[in-house]
Amino acid sequence: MLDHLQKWIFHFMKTHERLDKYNAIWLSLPAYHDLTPKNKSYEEVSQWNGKEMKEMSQYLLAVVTQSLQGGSPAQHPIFNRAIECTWAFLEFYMYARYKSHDDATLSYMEVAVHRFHTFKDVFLLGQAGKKAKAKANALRTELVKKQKVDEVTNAESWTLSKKRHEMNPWRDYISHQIDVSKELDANFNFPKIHLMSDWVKQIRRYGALQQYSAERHEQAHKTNLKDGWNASNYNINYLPQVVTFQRRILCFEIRELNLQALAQHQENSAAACNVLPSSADLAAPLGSQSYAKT
Amino acid sequence: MRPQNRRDGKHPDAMIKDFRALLDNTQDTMHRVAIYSGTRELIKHKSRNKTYISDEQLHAMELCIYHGIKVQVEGLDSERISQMCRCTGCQSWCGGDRRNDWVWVKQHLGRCYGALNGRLPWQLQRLFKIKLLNEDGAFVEYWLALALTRISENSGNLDPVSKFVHVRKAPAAVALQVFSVGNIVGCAHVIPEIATSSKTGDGQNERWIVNSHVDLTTWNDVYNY
Repeated sequence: MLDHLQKWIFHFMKTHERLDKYNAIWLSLPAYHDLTPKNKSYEEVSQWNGKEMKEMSQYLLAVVTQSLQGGSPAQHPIFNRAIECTWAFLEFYMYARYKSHDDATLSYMEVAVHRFHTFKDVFLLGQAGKKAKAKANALRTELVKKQKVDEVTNAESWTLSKKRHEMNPWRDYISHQIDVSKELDANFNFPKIHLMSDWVKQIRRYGALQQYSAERHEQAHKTNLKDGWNASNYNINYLPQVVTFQRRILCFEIRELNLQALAQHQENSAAACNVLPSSADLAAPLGSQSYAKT
Repeated sequence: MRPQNRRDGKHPDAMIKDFRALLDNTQDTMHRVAIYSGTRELIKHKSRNKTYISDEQLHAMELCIYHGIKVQVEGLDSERISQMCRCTGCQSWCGGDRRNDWVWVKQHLGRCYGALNGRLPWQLQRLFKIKLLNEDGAFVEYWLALALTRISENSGNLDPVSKFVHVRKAPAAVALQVFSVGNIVGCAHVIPEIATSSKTGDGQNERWIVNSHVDLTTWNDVYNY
């Protein structure tokens, strides 16, 4: 969802001619703990990875707020709606990151989702898909043709200043019609936005959302597959080797945990200590240890 | 909480061994004056008989420059989180621009400055340790920091529209302060109003907004009760 929000904000900044300020503020972000200063502006980043996305959520709202400072009185309500929408979404995102919830935090989450849905219309133009854009382009071509016809019809009677005066309303009318066309065809009907409404129910039934994080599985890809592949002989039958390697690692881990649990009980501690390597064994150089054959 | 040391002898800052050298190496006059008077005041305040030490004693004081400080912060689930606040002074960081981080500095006990809870975000300029001989003949060490001070706007309350706390430059008389690093309670993150200023915080920028969304702890702390 952050990806979508990012695109909407980019489109919003572009429409309201705030993109330069947005990029400049992006570049002037100070460092913070593990957050390093940015070397590239928003537009210069071609691809965002997961870590960058996560980092972006830390300062996105503040950057948007600073970028939308000032402006004409007519722009203020629109800008405030954009800030409110971003605020509500990121508030929901922050609550979703909690490791544990109670009724109060869940109700705050619900309020945030509700506020997001109230204000999301401000980003509707940014949500226009390919079909909506194609339709808007066709409409533009049609209106430009009409404008030309009007221009040719009155070419003889209009002076240069009169022509300029007559063409300006045409230009405004075309851009307005295109926006209207895009807004009519754009919608927020996609699965992710619908899922946001179900998250509170999910938390109530199955617990905090942290457990669904994809990071664990991505990390598991490294330990479960890559380590196994590196330990294999890279032959055609590498798959059983990867599985066996992983099973052995797991067996060792389970064995270690069992022994630790046994050692905690006083009556078993002596037996467990015999099995666990002593500190002297660990300190001894490799090759000097003797192992009993089983 | 102890500042992180530099590799001895490899960095220009490692050559600064006493207080006089620090003053000589400080290019900015304002910074030099603030370091001198601030350190002198602080030593007087910490000493038992509350008297100023002589200039000779002050200049001969053993000193060490540091480029970072590790602060322990309590997380949302009461776990301890280590935060690294970096301050390279005038030196570059990782071959790039200099890095002088923003930190939360405890001003008063209890809740004040509205949503900021008695803390203000200041920008570090120097981190140093001084060693001095006290009245008993024993050596005492003080870990000090020089920072550009900021004051909160709207009594530290959240702005009704942006819902962020705004801070601005402090008056010139108190623009730079020397304080004990024990008052640093964590890293802060602010967004400049004028984007033309550099990452180090110099330039024409006068106002910043305190980024309360930078982590869950800050998000829960910077809040109007």
